[in-house]
Amino acid sequence: MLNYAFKRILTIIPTLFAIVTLTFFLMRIAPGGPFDEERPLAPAVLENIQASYGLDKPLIEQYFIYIGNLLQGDMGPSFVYRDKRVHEVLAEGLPISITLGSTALLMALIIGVLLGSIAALNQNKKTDVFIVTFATFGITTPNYVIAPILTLIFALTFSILPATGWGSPSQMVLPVISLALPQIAIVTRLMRGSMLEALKSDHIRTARAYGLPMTHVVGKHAMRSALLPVLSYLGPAAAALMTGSIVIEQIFNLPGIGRYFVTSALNRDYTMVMGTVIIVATLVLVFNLIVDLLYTVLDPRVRYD
Amino acid sequence: MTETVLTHDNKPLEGVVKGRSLLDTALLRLKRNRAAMVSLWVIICMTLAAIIGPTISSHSYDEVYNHFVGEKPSIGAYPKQEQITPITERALSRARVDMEDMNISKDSIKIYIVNRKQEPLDPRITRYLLRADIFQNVELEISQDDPQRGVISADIRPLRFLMGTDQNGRDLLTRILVSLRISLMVGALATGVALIIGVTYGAVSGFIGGNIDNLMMRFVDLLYSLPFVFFVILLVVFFGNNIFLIFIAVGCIQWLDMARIVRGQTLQLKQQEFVQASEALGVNLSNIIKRHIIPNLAGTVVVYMTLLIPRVILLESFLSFLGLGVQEPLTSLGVLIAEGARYMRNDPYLLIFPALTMSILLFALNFLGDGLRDALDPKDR
Amino acid sequence: MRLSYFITFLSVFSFWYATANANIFYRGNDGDPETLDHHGTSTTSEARLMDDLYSGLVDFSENAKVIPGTAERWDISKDGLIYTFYLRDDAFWSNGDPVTAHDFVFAYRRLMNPLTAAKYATLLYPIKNAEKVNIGELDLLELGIRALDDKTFIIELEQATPYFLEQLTHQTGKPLHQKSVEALGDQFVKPGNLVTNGAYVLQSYTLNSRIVMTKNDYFYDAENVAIEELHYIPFEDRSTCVRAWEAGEVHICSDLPAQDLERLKIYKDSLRIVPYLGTYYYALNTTDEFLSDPEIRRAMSMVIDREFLSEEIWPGMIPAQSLVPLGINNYPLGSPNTDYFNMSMLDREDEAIAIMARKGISKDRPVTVELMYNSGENHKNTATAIADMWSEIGIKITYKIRDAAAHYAYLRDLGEVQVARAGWIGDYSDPYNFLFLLESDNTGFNYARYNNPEYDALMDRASNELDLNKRAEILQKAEKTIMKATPFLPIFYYSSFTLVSPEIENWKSNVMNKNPTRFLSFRTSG
Repeated sequence: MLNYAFKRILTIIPTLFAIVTLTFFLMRIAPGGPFDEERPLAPAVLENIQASYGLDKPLIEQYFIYIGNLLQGDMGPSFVYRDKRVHEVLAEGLPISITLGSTALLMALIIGVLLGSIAALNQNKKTDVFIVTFATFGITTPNYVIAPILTLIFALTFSILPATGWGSPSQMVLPVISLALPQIAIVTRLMRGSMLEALKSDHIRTARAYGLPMTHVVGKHAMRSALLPVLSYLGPAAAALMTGSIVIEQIFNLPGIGRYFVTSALNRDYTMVMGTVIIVATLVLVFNLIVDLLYTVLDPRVRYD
Repeated sequence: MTETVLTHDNKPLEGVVKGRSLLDTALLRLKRNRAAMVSLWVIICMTLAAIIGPTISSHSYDEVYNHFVGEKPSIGAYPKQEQITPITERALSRARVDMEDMNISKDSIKIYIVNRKQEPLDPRITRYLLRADIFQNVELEISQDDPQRGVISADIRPLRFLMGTDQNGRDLLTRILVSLRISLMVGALATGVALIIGVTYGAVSGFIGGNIDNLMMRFVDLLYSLPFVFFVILLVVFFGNNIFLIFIAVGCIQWLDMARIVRGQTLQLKQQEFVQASEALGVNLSNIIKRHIIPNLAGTVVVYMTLLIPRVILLESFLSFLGLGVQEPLTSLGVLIAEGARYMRNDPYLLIFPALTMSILLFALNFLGDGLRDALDPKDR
Repeated sequence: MRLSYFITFLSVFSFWYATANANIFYRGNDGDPETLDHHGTSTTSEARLMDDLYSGLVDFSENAKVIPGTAERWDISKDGLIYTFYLRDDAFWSNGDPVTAHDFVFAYRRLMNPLTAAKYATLLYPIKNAEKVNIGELDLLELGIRALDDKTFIIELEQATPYFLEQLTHQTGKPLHQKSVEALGDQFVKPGNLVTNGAYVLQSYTLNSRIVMTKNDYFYDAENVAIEELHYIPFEDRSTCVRAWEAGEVHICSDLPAQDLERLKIYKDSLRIVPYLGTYYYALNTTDEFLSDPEIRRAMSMVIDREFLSEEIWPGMIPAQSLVPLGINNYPLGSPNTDYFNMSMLDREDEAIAIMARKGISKDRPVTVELMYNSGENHKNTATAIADMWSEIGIKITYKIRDAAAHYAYLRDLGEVQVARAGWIGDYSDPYNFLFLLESDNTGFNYARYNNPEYDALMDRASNELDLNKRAEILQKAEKTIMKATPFLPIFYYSSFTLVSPEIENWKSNVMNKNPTRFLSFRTSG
């Protein structure tokens, strides 16, 4: 197990390197550059700007310069925020996205697992139908619908919560709920399904046949194997949640980093694209490692040889 | 099939008592599940509505009614009584004639007009009224003794917009029907792509394990980290806008989660007694995966699939934004919902009806999915 | 019962909710600036910040008219080539240093330095040798500016430019504090480092959250600046700004989503819709085989019912009948009339159908044309409606939709485009700033690839004409030429859409959409 963990940590570096390299060249194939906007620049000016960012050098040279800087912890200048380096921009927003994302993740995990288990234990009863209905609406209703509706109710009609901004705890309530709701719904659905499976498996049936108390059977045995698919889903989902959501950030005007995942690509803000890719790749690799290790904790039969 | 057949409760059977096939049993069990059967019918009806709905609707999905832009849903016919006068006045003012008098009855109208300029009336002006969407059989009778005066008689054409009209003045119901075509297709095909790649990849990776598993899963991580937006932009640039590209673009991304889930389950399954037993008996890899792993995965896979379909349908609207996906005047459910969300505060029905359609579809998929899962589950056999 | 518990619970939360401070002006903006170095700026949202931070030689008044700024007066030589600006004695930087002519010399040289890579350097190309300096052909010292003494600044122009003072109101014409820029390098823009000479001084800048400024006590007109503290809040989504405004969290929304305009009318005077110095148009590629026929282009323009578009599709926009928008300066006669705008829509349609019929095109025998637009705003609804109108004359539209960067890259590189959406907002109030788009050597902007030597000659003549009236006449003739040839098909004149809190006084809406904070104040109750 320790051996496996060590081996996996070692693979993170080459994987990251492959991702960085692939992205670097992939994004440069796309048409348009960071300075193509509604109002075009005069050709002479465009040349000046491109030269000042080193964009006039051969691509392969730009790549080695970038890697060189990256190894020294410098992600390069941002094209969209010229006064800052990319890592400075990301460092400003990342704590906010992580705060929001981890709160939502925790909510999704606790509420989703609870609701999913309750639904499974009451399969086809009223409670189950109610929970499934809730989950279905949660999945069909995208963020960009839920979030404005919550704002209309709590900020504009009752005036008990702020509509936008970041800084006070009250400003976290609506964004966290909007971010968590679809995730709660997904976890509920997954949990219900896997719990139903788990309850049918041989060892649970045996345990129940021996007359062990239901709470013990569910809590100790069924829960463990039922959590596996939820965890598999949550590995990458956690990475996505921690890196913020452009929709939630725009609707509540939050200074997180989720926006950069879309805008940097649309603006051809090359260095920022690289920055976001490095962050998301690191998180994906780390979370998936944690999930894989958790498998063996939850189900000791799972082994990596 | 002459080799040893394993039933799923681990008892090897000698010789073959050819029982019902996996599929037959599943179908039989599915038929007994009422919720699933109702859902199946709902989905069939929706599919039929998507295929023939737009053709039997009294409106075309791209027909623009200039005088009914953003009209509220209504069971009664348009024009409403109070709309007739302003629409008529507007049509007449464009024709540059003045109205002297007007008689409106239930389904027809008589307008007495006089030319603003000191000129005889131009018979072409009836076209202004025809253009106003609400009239048909428009006739102009120019007065014999004063060619500047005349009487227009016309029938009022009843138009029904059960779900209202959109911001370009097109019937929303017809547009929802047409949107279902694309969305059902995208939902089914992209999910199918994700399903096939994801399940195979995940099962193989999990079952083989070791370094191969590590390598295969790092490849998944790699794809997961690549910027999706660029991927889409590149697809559009190099291959243009093509409906099949949507399936590829979406399917290629959505199989990643599926692969991870399937692999996690496989890791667990392969340690189970019946799998190890068949391994010990020398059953080859692909048969174990086919006969033991995949059937036991069905439950989780089906649940995840019901999560995937709505995601794919909504994702399609983002692709349309980037120029990949359906383009005007065609539309999709995802696009209608995304557009409706913009008008949520002003014309909520533009959001409610598409969202409701989507919810019904998803409810049906959920119950059908649950039914399928129960039907396919080898443990229940 | 449960609901009321829930609401009580939330109310407890709202205790922490920082209530808006009554003395702070919260000004919504369209986005964060690319940089606070004004030589790197280009957008209108950046211009707002710069207008509050800096005072140029000339500034905008509350009505966006040109008024003396750091220069209290100026002389213009008879031939219109030499401008002599006399700086105020009481002009100071926010650290107490006097503003001198050398600060302007420093700033203008830095603007034209190729190494600065200033996006809008072209705007001050009328200055002698500016273009050659900017592309590195001449030394910085050759730029046609100099400081006669500490308080006298002289600009020499390449040729007479009647709108030069208007151009100087742009942020590229603002000074820089030489000492701090030289000492701090690219760090000079950081809060605490940035030294400015306008009504406000930068306090802090939190990305995507807010830019805080306070009144600059050294500003020469500080006694008339009413608002003490100013927070610029960037909004990427206009609907979000509207919600924040309705919740009382900002005083100003700088742009509004089209779909909300109808509903926002309940706020009466707070909703400001005024003409804006810009034109929304479709460029028709004149080198395309089908679109090279001016008659076809004319028919395509004729058949567009712009009144319908501005009533139903994009409320608030103004139907356009020319390329140069209404209310522009130096154009006393206004844009020329184009014959078909006087005709009824029906006659226009008939004539367009007749034109197309002569080319063998009709509704039953349509030609397919590709329309390219960038996703966003109301472009889609507008394109859909126009495609419907074009279908009447036998033009069947297929769409090519791109994200903004790809869209403009296509236009710039002159890719395979037939019809493309575009828009132009004037940098300064002069018809030349619109008509130059179609000059044949204007490769970056002339999306129609229109090439008419006659038009180019007219534009050259206008540039050399000193008499404003004669110049306007020539420009009008030029505009008439392009309205007839229709390389651009104007659809709307832009409007600016603003929500202004009733608490704010003296917000004068104007065609430049400029409202420097120094002229605003809070309404005193009672």
